[in-house]
Amino acid sequence: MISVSDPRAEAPATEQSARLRRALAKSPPSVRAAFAAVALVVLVAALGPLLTRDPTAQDLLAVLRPPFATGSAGTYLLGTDQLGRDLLARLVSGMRTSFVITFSAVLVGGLVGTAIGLASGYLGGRVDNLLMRIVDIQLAVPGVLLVLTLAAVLRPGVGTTICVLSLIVWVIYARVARAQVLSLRETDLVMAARATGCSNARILLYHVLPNIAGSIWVITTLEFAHVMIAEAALGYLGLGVPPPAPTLGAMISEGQRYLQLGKWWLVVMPGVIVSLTIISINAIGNWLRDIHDPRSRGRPG
Amino acid sequence: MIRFIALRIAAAFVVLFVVASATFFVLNLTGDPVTAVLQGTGASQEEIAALKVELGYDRPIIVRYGEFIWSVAHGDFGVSIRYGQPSIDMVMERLPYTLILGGTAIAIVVVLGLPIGILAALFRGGWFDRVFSAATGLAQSVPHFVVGPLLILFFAVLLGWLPVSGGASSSSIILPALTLALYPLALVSRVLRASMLETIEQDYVLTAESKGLSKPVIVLRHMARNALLPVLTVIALQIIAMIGGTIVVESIFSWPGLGSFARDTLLASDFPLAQTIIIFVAAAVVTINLVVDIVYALVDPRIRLK
Amino acid sequence: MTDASPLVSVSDLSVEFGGGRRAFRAVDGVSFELMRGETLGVIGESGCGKSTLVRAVLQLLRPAGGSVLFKGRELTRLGGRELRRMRHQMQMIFQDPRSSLDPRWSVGKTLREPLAVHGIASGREADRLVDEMLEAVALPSSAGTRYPHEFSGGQLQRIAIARALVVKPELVVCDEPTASLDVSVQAQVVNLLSELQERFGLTYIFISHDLAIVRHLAHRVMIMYFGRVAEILPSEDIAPAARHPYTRTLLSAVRDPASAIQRRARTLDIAPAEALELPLLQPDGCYYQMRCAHAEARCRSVTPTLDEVEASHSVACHRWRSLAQGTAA
Repeated sequence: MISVSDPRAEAPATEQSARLRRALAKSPPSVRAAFAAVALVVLVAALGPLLTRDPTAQDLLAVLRPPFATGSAGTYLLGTDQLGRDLLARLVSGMRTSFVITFSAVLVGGLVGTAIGLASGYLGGRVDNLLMRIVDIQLAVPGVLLVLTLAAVLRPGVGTTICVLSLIVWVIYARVARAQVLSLRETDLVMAARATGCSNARILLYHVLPNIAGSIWVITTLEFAHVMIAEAALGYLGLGVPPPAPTLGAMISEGQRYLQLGKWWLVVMPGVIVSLTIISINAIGNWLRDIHDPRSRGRPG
Repeated sequence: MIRFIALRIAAAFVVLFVVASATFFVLNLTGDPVTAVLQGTGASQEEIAALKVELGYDRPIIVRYGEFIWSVAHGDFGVSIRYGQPSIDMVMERLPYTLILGGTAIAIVVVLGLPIGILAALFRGGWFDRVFSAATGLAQSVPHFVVGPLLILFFAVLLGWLPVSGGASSSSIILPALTLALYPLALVSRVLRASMLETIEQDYVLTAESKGLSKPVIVLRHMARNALLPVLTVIALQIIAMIGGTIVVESIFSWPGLGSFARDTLLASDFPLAQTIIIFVAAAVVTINLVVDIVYALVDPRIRLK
Repeated sequence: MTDASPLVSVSDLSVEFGGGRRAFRAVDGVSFELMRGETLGVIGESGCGKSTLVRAVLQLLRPAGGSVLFKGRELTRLGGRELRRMRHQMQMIFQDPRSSLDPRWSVGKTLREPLAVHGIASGREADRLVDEMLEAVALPSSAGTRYPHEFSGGQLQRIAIARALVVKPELVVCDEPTASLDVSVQAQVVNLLSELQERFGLTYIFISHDLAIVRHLAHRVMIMYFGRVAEILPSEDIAPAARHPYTRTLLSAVRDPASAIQRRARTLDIAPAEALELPLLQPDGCYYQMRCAHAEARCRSVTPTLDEVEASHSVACHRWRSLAQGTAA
């Protein structure tokens, strides 16, 4: 995978952000569109409560109305659901919950996983063996099943969902960080830091971590998409954040019951928004990977 | 080699043992399954207490753990609280549906993925390749729970060609299998395209060209065959991913396999049944990994040294 | 060389790679002493274990056996923390500054790190020490705000030297510090090192595969062959005094650059991992037997010990007494 191949090609931090800006300026329109789409979705989700109606308010005189329908509270831009709740408001609120959960789960899982991967790769020996066996054991149970089992056992809620989802994230970070540390561990860079008299913690934080930051960013982007899907899947399967709080997965799962009645918007609207967001995040992630490691260009994820 | 295989099999059993133990404690330490299942069913406190004694849930957890490991080692996976039947029988009843679904999805991946990938490589840069690139990118990003309902909307509701859900008729399998196959289909054809393009640069293709062999002959006889190994690896790994995928896909289409069963069981807190399913799934994953490892070691002896 | 007790005393040091039956001894029972102010040159072909040896001396690699006394303290038994506290007394300069200096760090930050790590100085005091050290290696103090990619190879090696010396060490290990540099700047760096040795009273272990540089800089030369010491002798009269057939071959190789040994050295240029597959390189008896024109029966069965020829000259060869002094093989 990615490695610190040629140090001469690397540049100091300030120049790296300049390089990123230059790369962004040269990026294809699809990538720029993806950035714009993600920014828009995040902005709307963040400002959600200011822009939309109460997502749990019911308008029983206007249930299952199609987009642009009018009810007692004015026009419903994306229509209403089976309880006459504003689909747009629910969608925005669901996105908001989804972003909060995904962001927290990736943050927690990413920090824990990176720390474990760094320690595992750097210390090696028995610690490494034990930690990697734990990874193997966890990977023997598919992520969805693991998440589902824990979600079934624990009390449902935002906190539970974050904890459970961070479990599927940490393994990925641990593996990537470990592989990178293994390739860095024997380099002169690390040897020189040890010869200088740096402690292991210092070497990992100041010398190893900055050098693997690029790949950490790439997997952070791709994992964000991954966890967002998992959060929605959990909601779809009925084990996410409990109602009446709207979640994207639960909206699709409820809406599916009305598909045969032709109420397509209940599924299509949240589905399209989720998919567009995921597509955009993946596009950014793949672009980051390509500029980070030109060898992987055109290779599938 | 025999030593390597024996070690790998031993390691697989260790993994399964730990998974089984962890599952047992996760499912039993957090609460009492009998109460969880019978809650809200109108059962009285006495009935619940009686069932607890009957199923042995009144004894200390460590005793139950020992008994659980002992009986699992002897092929006895306990009795479902909800159905009162041996959980292994119920798993076996559902398993064929999942196998058929997975088999159909893999068939779709192979039958469609290989020609599509080869065509995209042959017409690199052309319109087909560009459509291919966009379509596979899309297919890899749209989640199951969006693809599934959309397929239902088009093919079942609007066009009325296929059943909405269930496993009753033989055409019921088409939509869930397509949903399950979509991601691996995109991935496999992309990997094949990429490894074919790598092969094009290689000497033996140039040699074949200089011998005057026609393009289709070169493609099929030389390039595709050599590009196939990475594809097989990807397919093996995708089978593991599909096992997780069946949970969501079977739930979307109410397909009566193990995946939707796992979800229903967990929602109903029927933990003896749930732990049986988890151990089964873990065994499947571990077995596939084991087979892949051994095949690799046979193909490339250097791997054994790692 | 005023103090009578050695600064470093290494005895029977061994390093192994890999475990169990496949273990490969990269360093095999090496012993030597190093006096204060002295420079010991270590010479040998690529893969002969010279880099591994010095890393084991500094405990950057933990040895499999033997002892390293530094100022009377047994380094091999020190824990990580105690060892770290001693590191400011023993520093290392690496072969390629491009890979040993962090490209993301400014030169000033790189030089201030050892001062901070060892609690020697911070703030203005650290800046002053850094400027002083940059001046000592003949770089302008403005270099402190610049980044490695703005410097040439020779300048980078000066920065690496400054990093090693900024904590005022007593022992400095130089692992082929000129090997990655252009021939034109090699001499500058060698001269700088000997100038700094005088100025700061440094003790050097200097690794090289270039006999000419080692002779110029070192008081004594240690010749290594596949993890073992072949010969240790004073550098001024190395050519007439050399006893070991391998040393003599090396000397003749210097005189005749296109000689067979150089070509063979290249073919024997193997990494430890590959060496695992080649147990033939470490047979019973003397490792040099297969390339030696003077090998006899006991060379194939008995490992030669390091015999003292005279004060500060030892050789590990069964036949050193019978081989006429000074005649090249």
